[in-house]
Amino acid sequence: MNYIDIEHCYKSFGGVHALSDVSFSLKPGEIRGLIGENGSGKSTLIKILAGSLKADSGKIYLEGKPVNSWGALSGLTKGISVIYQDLSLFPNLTVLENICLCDQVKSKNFFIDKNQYVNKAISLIEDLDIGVDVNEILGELTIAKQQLIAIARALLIESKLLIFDEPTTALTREEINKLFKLIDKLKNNNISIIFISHKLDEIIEICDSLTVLRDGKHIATEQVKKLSIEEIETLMVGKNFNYTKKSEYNLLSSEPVVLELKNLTKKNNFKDISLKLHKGEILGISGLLGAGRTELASAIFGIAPCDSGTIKIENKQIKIRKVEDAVKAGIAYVPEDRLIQGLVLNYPQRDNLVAPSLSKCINKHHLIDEAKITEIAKKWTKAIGVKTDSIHKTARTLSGGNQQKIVIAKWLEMNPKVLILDGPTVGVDIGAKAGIFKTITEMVEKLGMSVILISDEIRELTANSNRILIMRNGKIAQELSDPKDIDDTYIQNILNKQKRVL
Amino acid sequence: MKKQILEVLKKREMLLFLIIVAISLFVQSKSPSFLTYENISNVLKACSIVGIFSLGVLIVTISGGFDVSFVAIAQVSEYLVVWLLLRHIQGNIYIAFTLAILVGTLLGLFNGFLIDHYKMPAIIITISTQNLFYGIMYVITEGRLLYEVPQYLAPLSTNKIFSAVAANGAEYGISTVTVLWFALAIIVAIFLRYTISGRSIYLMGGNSLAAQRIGINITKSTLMVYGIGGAIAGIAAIAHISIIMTVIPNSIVGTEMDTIAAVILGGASITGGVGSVLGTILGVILFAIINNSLTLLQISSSWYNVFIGGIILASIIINALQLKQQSKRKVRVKVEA
Amino acid sequence: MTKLNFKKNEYTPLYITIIILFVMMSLINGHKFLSLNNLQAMAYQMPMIGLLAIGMMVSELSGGINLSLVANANFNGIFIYVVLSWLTKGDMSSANLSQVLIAISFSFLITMIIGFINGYLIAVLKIPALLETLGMMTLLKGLSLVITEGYTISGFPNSLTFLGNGDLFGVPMSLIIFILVCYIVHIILDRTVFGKQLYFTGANQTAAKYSNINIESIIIREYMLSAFFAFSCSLIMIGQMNSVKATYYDSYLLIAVLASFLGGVDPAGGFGKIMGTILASIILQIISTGLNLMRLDPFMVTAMWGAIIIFVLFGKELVKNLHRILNRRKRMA
Repeated sequence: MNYIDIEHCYKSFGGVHALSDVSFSLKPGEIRGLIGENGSGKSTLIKILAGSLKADSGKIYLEGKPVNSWGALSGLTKGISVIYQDLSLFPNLTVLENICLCDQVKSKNFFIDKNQYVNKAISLIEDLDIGVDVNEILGELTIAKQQLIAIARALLIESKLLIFDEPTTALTREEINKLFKLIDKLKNNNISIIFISHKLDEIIEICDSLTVLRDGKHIATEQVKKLSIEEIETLMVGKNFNYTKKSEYNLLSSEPVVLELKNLTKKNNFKDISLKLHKGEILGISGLLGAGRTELASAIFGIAPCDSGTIKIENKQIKIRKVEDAVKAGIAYVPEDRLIQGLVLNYPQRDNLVAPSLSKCINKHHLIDEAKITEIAKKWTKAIGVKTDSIHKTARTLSGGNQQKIVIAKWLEMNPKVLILDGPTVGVDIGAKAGIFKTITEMVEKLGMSVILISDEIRELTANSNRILIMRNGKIAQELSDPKDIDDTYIQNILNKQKRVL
Repeated sequence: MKKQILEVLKKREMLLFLIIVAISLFVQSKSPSFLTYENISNVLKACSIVGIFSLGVLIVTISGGFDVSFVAIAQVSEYLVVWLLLRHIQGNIYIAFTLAILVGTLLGLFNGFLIDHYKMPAIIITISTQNLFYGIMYVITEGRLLYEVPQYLAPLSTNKIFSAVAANGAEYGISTVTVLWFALAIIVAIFLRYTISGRSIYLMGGNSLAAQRIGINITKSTLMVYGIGGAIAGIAAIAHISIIMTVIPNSIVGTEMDTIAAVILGGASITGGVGSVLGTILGVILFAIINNSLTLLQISSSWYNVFIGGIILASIIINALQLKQQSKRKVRVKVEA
Repeated sequence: MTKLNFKKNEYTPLYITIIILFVMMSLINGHKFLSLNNLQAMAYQMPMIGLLAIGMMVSELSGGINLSLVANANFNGIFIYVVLSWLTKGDMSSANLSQVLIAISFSFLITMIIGFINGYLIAVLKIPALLETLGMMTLLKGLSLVITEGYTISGFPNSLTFLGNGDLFGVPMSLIIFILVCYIVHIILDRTVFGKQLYFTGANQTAAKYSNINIESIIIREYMLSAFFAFSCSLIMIGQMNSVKATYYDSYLLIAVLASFLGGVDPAGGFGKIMGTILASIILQIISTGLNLMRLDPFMVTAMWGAIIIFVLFGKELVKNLHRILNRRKRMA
């Protein structure tokens, strides 16, 4: 018998159908991957399961019995817990309180009784192998440990269904391995699991089956074993999708070196990084989370400067202590988190586009020239192909792919020599990814830039870069400069090896 | 062992306690009348009103809110209660408290309603209501002082426990107002620590979205927090009348920021989620001791604000430097040797 | 062209409020309100609240707040007194113009230092602005009290008080200073790279940092600019009160927060224009003058100032609900 059945569920917001006629069922002990592009209805479905939203129509059965009132928080009382991406814990309180308060709030008692939970909490912490004291303050733990505490909280209230919302985004591979082992263990205890991730290789690694949503509609539910990544992508996007492999793998080694790093080191971040970037080259850097990629990029860009080592731009040694130094030297950085680091969502696209180059938008009295701003903004939106009805509208109104293009475009007026792209396609719909890479390649050719492309999607790198560096534990572990080496399975093997080592 | 001692020293309460001890010893060496029962009980009495106010401010601050209207609420309660007791209601001190708490709670709920319903920054709303409450009261009363206050309110401040007689024949001891302050502090401490409603205030201040997700009704909690804040302001109002036995419309106005500063100094976080009753009490006492020391050391009381401002700035700067150190030491990547 | 339309929309409610209030006060008070004397008096008083509100607004643009604004203004006035009486060996009223100018320059310097300290602690040490400026406010007020021992100090030379109580062809000097300062700051905020970067920083500090903006330097300069308003206030205040004191205009501090909010400043940062704040200050001044003419208690003014925000909230909701009902009717019909 299924643990949960949802039949013909509809939900709309102000006339827009977020979910239409979605049916969904899950067996006890089944691990289900839930995938779909942004706006496909994943989060609406989760909110309905968690009880923070009420479906407009449709039926829900729990263990075969129809559930009538599916109002606020009924999910929690009926054994459904969500491990949110932001974890939804209380950093100011102790581990014990975080574990037990959910149950306490539910109990509607007047006084709190933490003592009855101490033993249970300790045994849960042991079970999950978290290795913390119940009296530690939660905010002082690592994110991975906090996530395990969130799981412990869910287990304490004897949840039968755990929903993981993008659980791996902030974890290192080592921590992901541990999480996956734990999920397996939960499965053996007959707990059902819904696993939401945009990383398809993770879905394939951990899930038994998967459900694909698109535009609020149920597209398919299949056994994972029966599908390849390409097939899954096709289901998600609704059309065939392939990376076009970069045909030229020429090494450009005869071109002059634009950026050279020598023994770049920052304590607790990375060590002895040396590399050369040639003119017109796209250099891919991969490696798992916690390998030090983003840390290296922020050091080159001056966000968190390095401790020692030298940086040379066009053979001139420079010191980068702050962002201004880097920009002056011709380095631009498109950060990992587009929504927070990249854009001011509530400002017009136009204003976002000129943020780094404001000092160029002045007239002869050194005052801001609004017309010039518009002109510059228009020039680059056109050059880079941002689809927008008006650059005077806020950045929020754009789709993920176009937002990312704005973040890239805003650097072009500065005419950078080196453009560092950190995860440029994270959270961008598969369909829009190709557009971004096309833009990047064009810009390299037109403007003679060099690019450092950081990504954890290997296929993306092999298709778009001339050379790939693999980072591991703060060091460059391997350089793949021979084009023949750069082959999807080859790199996947390297990463797999890394997984096993850890 | 050494590490444990360092941990204890890092706690805000311990730090405040040590500062208080250090100041006390210093003042004592200059002016022996400082550490006497008589002086200490007087200091405690003098800061009892601020002490009571600070408990309400603490609760609001922990919830992640902000309140500058509490003094105005107390002022309104003072007027309304004394007027009712003189003209309309045969009363006693219990009725006085009940009425004051009622008035305070209602005004507090009004704050809570505006903040929750309109999703407005608490600072804007409470500045508005502060002016509104105070202004309306002043207009209605035309700023008249009420000299005639029911006599049964007096014993609250004149009664003493553990009393002793001074050389000049005056009686001294711990005033019942101070007892009221500490009793209220214990109740608030128990509420914050051992009740689910109390804990949910910490939840709300720590992570409001997460609190909602585990079933806490934010609207209810906001109303409760500002309601309690108002109720405590009402209690402070009666205590205040009892001490000065007059109702003066502007006698405590302008002390809002001092109280808030004491709560912050006591370790409460302005962003919510952190704060303790003990720390708040110590913060209030520290301010009172500085004030008292200036008198005993015959330093002009003008220096009071300089010291307070200096201490606030010093404490937040030290705090900020500590945080900076911590984030520097954080390991981001496990680098192989 | 589009920009003009945008502006019109944004401030329409404020203009309407001003007109309604003005008409209302004129009807109630008759010629008393519309008399030249009264209009002059309003023009004479408004700059104080206006300058404080804009000083507050500047600090709020980065998501901060400047509670030390009024204390800073008072301290500044007292500092002018200290320098002047030192220069003239105790007889301030005999000070000549150059001595006045020296005193003003020194006080300008000290204000900028205070602004710098505020900005440095907030930007570099990342102390919440509310706390930092609360501490600075207490400290400055304390220093003012220590210097003056709590007394009111008068006897400033006419060349200095002229700035606050004089007039030029019937226009109060304070208004001229106000307009001048507003114009300068309008240019700084809306037409310079610094201004644009300040708004950007306020809207999203992280994004600003990643966009080649030195947020530390921006915030430090922002608080120096905010302190500049304390400086301007102190000059006008000396003239209007003909004296200095540690606690003048204390109650205006939080009113300045209200005024900036009424003028459309987002306390979370990034949004708010000088025009809105000026209009909001005019609204507060009309209320104040009108109620005074009605011989109402000055505290009625305080109450009305507090009430206006709540009226605005209620009004907005009412309009929204009316819209909804009308729309529903339309759909039904």
